[in-house]
Amino acid sequence: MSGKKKKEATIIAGNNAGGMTKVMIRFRKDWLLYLMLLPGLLYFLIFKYGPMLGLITAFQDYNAMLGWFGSKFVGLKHFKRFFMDPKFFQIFRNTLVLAFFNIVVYFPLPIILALLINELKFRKYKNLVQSVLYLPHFISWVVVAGICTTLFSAENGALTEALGGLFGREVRVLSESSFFPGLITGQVIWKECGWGTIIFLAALTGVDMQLYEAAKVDGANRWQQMWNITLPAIKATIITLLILRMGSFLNTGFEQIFLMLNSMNRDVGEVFDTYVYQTAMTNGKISYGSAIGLFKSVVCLVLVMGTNHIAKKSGEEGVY
Amino acid sequence: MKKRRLTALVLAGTVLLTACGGGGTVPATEAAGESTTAGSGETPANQQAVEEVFTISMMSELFSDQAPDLNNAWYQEMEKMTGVKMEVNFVPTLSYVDKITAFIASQSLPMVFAANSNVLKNNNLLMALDSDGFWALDDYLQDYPDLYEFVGEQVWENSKIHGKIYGIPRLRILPRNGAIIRQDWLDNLGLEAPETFDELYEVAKAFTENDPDGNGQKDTTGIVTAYQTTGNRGWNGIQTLATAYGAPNTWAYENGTMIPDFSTEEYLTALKYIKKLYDDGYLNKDFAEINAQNRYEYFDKGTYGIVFGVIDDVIGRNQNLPQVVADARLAILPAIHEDGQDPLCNATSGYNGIIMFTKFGNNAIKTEEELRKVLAYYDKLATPQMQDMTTFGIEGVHYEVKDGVREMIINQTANKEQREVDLGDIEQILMKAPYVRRDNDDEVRVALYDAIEARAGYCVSEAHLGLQSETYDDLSSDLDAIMMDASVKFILGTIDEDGYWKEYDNWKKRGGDDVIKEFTAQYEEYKK
Amino acid sequence: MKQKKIKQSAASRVFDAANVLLLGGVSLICLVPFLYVISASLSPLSDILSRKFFIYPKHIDLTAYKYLLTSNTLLKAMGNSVIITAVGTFLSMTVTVMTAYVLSKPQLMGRRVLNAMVVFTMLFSGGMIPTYLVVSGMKLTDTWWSLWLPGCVSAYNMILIRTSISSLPSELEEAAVIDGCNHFQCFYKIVLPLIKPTLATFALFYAVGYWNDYFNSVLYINDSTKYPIQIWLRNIVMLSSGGFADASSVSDLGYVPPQNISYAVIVFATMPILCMYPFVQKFFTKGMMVGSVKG
Repeated sequence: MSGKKKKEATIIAGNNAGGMTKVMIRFRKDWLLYLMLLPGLLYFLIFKYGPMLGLITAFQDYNAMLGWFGSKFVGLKHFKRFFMDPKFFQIFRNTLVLAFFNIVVYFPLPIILALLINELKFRKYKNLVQSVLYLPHFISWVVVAGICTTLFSAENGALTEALGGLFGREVRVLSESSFFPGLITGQVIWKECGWGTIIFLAALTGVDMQLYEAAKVDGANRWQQMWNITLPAIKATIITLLILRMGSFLNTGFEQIFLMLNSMNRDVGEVFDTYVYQTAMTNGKISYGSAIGLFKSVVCLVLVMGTNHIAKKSGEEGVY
Repeated sequence: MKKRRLTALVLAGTVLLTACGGGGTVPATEAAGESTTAGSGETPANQQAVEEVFTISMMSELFSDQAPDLNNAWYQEMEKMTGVKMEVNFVPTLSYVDKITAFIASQSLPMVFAANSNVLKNNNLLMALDSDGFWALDDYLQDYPDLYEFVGEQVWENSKIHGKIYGIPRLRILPRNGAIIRQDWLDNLGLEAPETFDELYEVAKAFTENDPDGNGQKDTTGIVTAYQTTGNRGWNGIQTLATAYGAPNTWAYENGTMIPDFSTEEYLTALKYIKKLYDDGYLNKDFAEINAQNRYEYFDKGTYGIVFGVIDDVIGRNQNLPQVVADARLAILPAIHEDGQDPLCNATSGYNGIIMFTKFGNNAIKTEEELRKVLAYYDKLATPQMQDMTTFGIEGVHYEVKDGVREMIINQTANKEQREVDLGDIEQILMKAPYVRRDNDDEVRVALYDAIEARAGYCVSEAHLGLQSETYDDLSSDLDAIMMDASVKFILGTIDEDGYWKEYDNWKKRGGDDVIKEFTAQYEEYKK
Repeated sequence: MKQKKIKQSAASRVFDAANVLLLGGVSLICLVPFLYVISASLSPLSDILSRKFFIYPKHIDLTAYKYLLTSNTLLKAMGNSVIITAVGTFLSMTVTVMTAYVLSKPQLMGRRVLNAMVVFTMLFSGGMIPTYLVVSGMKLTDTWWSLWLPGCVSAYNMILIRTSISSLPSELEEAAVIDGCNHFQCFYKIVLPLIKPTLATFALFYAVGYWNDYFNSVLYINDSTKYPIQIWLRNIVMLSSGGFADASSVSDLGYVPPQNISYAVIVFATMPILCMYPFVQKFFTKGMMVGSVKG
């Protein structure tokens, strides 16, 4: 018995020793690669993983003056407070609604827009359109909110009357709860759609023009060309972006929403980010904010892992 | 071969760049004059070999659009007069609280810093305060009578945190809430400035229906206000009118308990009054959708007659409105009162923020002796001579005396001079009176100061100043939102009176009951 | 094969026309607010307050720009921003692209774990205080390194660049290796030239990020002469919108810039980065890969 075990042990040891040597060989072969990795690795360790230790504040009553070692450990107290808050479900629901709108309505639009721009024939017009479309990205949310007030205000809104005619009743876009998700998503579309096309347009430059020629000869129409040549060229980018989007699924952007909140739409407008701002940020309750952030991160982690897994199962390259 | 070496060098360089953080400033910059890094004020005296100059490191908010020059004539003169060198770190307002938090965490708060209302609500600051991070001044103030008198006992009391005085309050005028009215419209329509609720209603009506700007079009509305943010209830009109009806100013202590204003009949009366204005079309329809800045933009356009706000904003409106309507004239709306009653005005706390003294960290005031030196400095600032210096500046540089009248010579439109003589930002961390009459004040300012003084006798103060409620600290945004939303919805007509009181019950359940209990207990402990 | 001129179908032409119109309309919607801001910066204050103009100024008034161009503070801040952005973008691109290249190599040991670690940092973060403590612990505060180092690599950017590198056909590198290139040469000579559009895109993203940064600058920099322009921009915009009624005592709040100045500052601070895009577009040329892989 013991002899057999010894033999197994030796084989295992041999394999392990072989394993170690294998590593050494691979390292020697690719040492330049690892050297090239060094700056990035150091960056992530020092500036990302180092501060990550600060997540412990979610389990403490963090006192900035005393630091982590001086602060009291309170375990799950903040999480309990968060989950037991009567507003929790409302906030979760509101966040999910906005996130849903964002993924379903907003996400495909830069892609479609990029494809449309790609189809433009006149080079100069194409460049002009591209240059103009990304301008809204540089406008701050404060200005966007101001524009919406000018357009939709119940008092003098430029579009208020027109909308009233359309709906047959007085329409108050800025106050009615039902308009809120549309309003927010609309703002995001206007501000970010053009900017979002840049990545896809860059990817589309890698498409071989000869493929289009060949397809045309084979009798493919525009639609078929787009579906079979153009779209696959950006498929990898789309999937990567979708998975990454899952990582910020519960982030709705605080500033944008806060500016549009008022007494009438508060019940659908309060989301995680505004809640954190009002309960944690404004009065510096770091621990509470940290706990909520941790909760959001865990949820998003699950989503990312899930979508990544699905992507890989479908034969695509995931993000890890 | 050469290329190889070059690329290897680049690679090594990159590694070096990212690996070694090594301090030191980037060569391209040159600090103007002295570098004003926070906490570089290595404390004590003996900075100069000859004279003993005591350096105080300070931190305060930056409100201007210029880099402050700490070596200009004024600072040098101040140092000569007081023997104290100020090393100030000016931080842009918008992220002031975050910077304070970062400094608390890294133990690098300067000796003296300005704590505005946001900072004072900040949990990190409060926890540091409870952990003995700041000097409590209660025992020292009797030795500095000038300082004590300058602030006044009432405001010292108001500014207490957790029962103690932790800083010097920055004085503000008391009766700030009010409204501004178009005097030219009143003149055009032959009306007197309204003083009662009924008169106010009539004026709002006339402003809307009787074409006060005389352009033949029905494009004017009586009143404009903004209820989008909960934080503005002080100056969006509700509080002003409610107090005028007799409601408490936020909180009052009656019959053994603290009561919030929105729980009183008088407050609801005010809401009904506003509702009538709204229903009849004399109030802007989108008041619930626009924010504070919007409502001033509307007013500055010239189509509204009355705007609620703080009365010192008349100066700003007076700058803007005449640009659009050349002969517009503004006046401060008289303090509204019920028929036959005295006016009632909201008193603010009398201060905005306090100047605090750090006890912990690398740049703290370490000993009692040092603290006394700093307090002596502020005591000196409270004297008339220093007040003159901090308010008016240096003769010949900031002002000139012509025929016995002081005229400010700061050129408002030139940047360079601005940089040399600017006093605006430093006053946030020095002692300053709430307002100072100057010889060359224009009509509007004189009227403003007169109004302030006239109202001093009618002020109703907030009973909860200086008191703390933990429940309120935790849930303030929720609780405030519940009653704010209830008020707005009532005015809009979405809920009726019963609905309003139901919301009040909600408020109580959500935590309001606890807040009342806590404030009451605190009041009875500290103020009775 | 004979070059046949292939006729476009009617449907195809309709589509083209509709496309041009649609994109034209969308462009207008995007352009209009900008024209408003530019017009406002060129208008006198009275026009702004009364909203007399829309997309082109009714009267030209250059006081706002005069004010800016004679302000030492603002010009210096603009210079600061340029340096911060240029150096930051170069630094970020160098580290990010190199890291992306390495992480795309299948033969990298622990590749999956390393990539997962990168993704992890996108989800979990210690927050403002721990990062501040790291930066101040390294004595980087009040220097521009505090702006360059903590934000050196964006995981998001890196992952997308990595995706783009992965989609290059592996035959190219294999050919280079046979020719005797080591990893760095492969990276520098083969891969980089092929992903020029990607590089241009992410250089733009980084540049915009550095140019627009406000919060980090306020947090880490104490010396106001080192501020980038965004800080002054925000201060001016906030001031001219009268945002802080409760801050002032009645008397002076220093000089309150009128609104036309605030619009001019917006233009002043945004224009440089907007002008970058046309240069970036030069890299977006089609058909870079044609003929690179035979057979």
